[in-house]
Amino acid sequence: MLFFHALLMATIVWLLNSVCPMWLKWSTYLGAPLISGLINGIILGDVAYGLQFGATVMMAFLGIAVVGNAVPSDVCLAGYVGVTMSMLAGVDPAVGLTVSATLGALGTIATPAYMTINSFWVHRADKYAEEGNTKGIFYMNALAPLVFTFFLYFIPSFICIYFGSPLLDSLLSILPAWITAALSTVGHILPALGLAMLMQLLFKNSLIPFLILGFAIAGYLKLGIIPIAIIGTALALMHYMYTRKAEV
Amino acid sequence: MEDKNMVIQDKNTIKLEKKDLKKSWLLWVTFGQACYNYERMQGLGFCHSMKPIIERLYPNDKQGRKEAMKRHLTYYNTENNWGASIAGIAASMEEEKRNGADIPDESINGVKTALMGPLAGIGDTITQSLVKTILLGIGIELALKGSILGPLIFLIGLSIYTLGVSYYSYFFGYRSGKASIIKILGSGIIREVTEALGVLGMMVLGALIVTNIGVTTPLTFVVSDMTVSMQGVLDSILPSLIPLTLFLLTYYLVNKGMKPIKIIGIMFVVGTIGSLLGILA
Repeated sequence: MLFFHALLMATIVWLLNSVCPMWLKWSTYLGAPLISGLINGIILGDVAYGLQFGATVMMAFLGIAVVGNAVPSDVCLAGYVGVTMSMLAGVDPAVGLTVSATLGALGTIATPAYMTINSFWVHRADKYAEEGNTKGIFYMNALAPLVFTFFLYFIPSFICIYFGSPLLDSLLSILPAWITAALSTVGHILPALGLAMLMQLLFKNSLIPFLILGFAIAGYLKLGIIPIAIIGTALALMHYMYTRKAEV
Repeated sequence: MEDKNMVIQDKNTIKLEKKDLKKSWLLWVTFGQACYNYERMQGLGFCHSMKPIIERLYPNDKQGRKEAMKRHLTYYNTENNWGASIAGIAASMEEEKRNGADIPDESINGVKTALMGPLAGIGDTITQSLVKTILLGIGIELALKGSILGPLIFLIGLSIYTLGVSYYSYFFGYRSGKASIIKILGSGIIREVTEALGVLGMMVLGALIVTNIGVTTPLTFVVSDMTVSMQGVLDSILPSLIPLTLFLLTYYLVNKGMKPIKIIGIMFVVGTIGSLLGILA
């Protein structure tokens, strides 16, 4: 069972870093922990644990969009390898978050590697272009990227999950309680980084009131994200209409 | 298509069919970033998306195919969904060029290069920091409540968004051409719309500080035989005071230009010490 589990997860990671359809990649890559939590939950027969786990890890990665090159942790590896390993070990989601983020940070070395090696196929494509061979472009773009990423993503992910999960399990079970408590606290703090990075993208002095408003509505009225997004939409429309009028 | 009068209308004219354009759009939105690399980024992906266009326009013309393919194998990088409009423009320029319009190679590449930056800027702001954030916010919240709809709404919602926006952008680019995109980019409407969307983004962000940063304090103290929880006291003043403080401190560090990996290191230290001293949990 663990063999097929590891096989499936490693294949997902492999495809997401090569030829997975881009429109599907947007959600499955950027939402990796959330999606992986569900898949793992189904495989392990505990969907509730999977949802809880995926959502908790996702919090840390919510703000960490692909913002330039400053990504501190690979969402895909953290999501599919980190979440799978920690869920197999059956740990508390907040501890799993820290484990996943650490694994993801290690995984960031893979991105520059594949981005460099892929240039190889572009040069092959140049040759096909010289021959007027349009099929060649298809092979180079849609199939060739599977080759190097197999070694860069599939094999390490498979090894981590298949051989690493039992190790992580025994490691986490012998850890003294104070370490797991500390890991869980770190897990509670980590989401602040993603949100701060997000705010750096969105920030404008004129938008500060809306940050306060969102904070107050969630903090005091305990409203969820959907109602807040609806109120936000109304305010956004007002902002658009009124600032436009002022210019005319 | 401002060069309409220059198109020579004879029986050698080849028009792109709707299905060629649909194929081209689908190739872009599927394989645009499959062979992502530092040297030319999405260059190969862009060339791949032009495959049905090139095959239609130069069916028995190896030289024409060769030149068109080489034209599109250059450095290219933009946001996938809004940037699809550039592929639409390129298709319409290729069509005009094939049918006799005087369009040098540099001018097609010039348009691609000129538009890819601004469209990446707009696309990244809207897709990454707004649509993705809101859908994830909803997804996380529902998943925490134990609803399977959480991950599903995110998966389906974002896929509909990417497919829909890229399809609309591609055909807008093809039909309206570069002039109208440049006009829109220069008109200030983009700035107004992104600022309005920023309103929504900031509100959701404010809410996420409350829901996503789960730090609390287990501190208690005794006041005249009564054990008082520090968290309770804080909650009565301002709920989520600790998460807000941590968020603002982190934002200060991010804004100062500190590397994210360094901030993670600091968080590990603060979290561990805070936990050991029994201040944070």
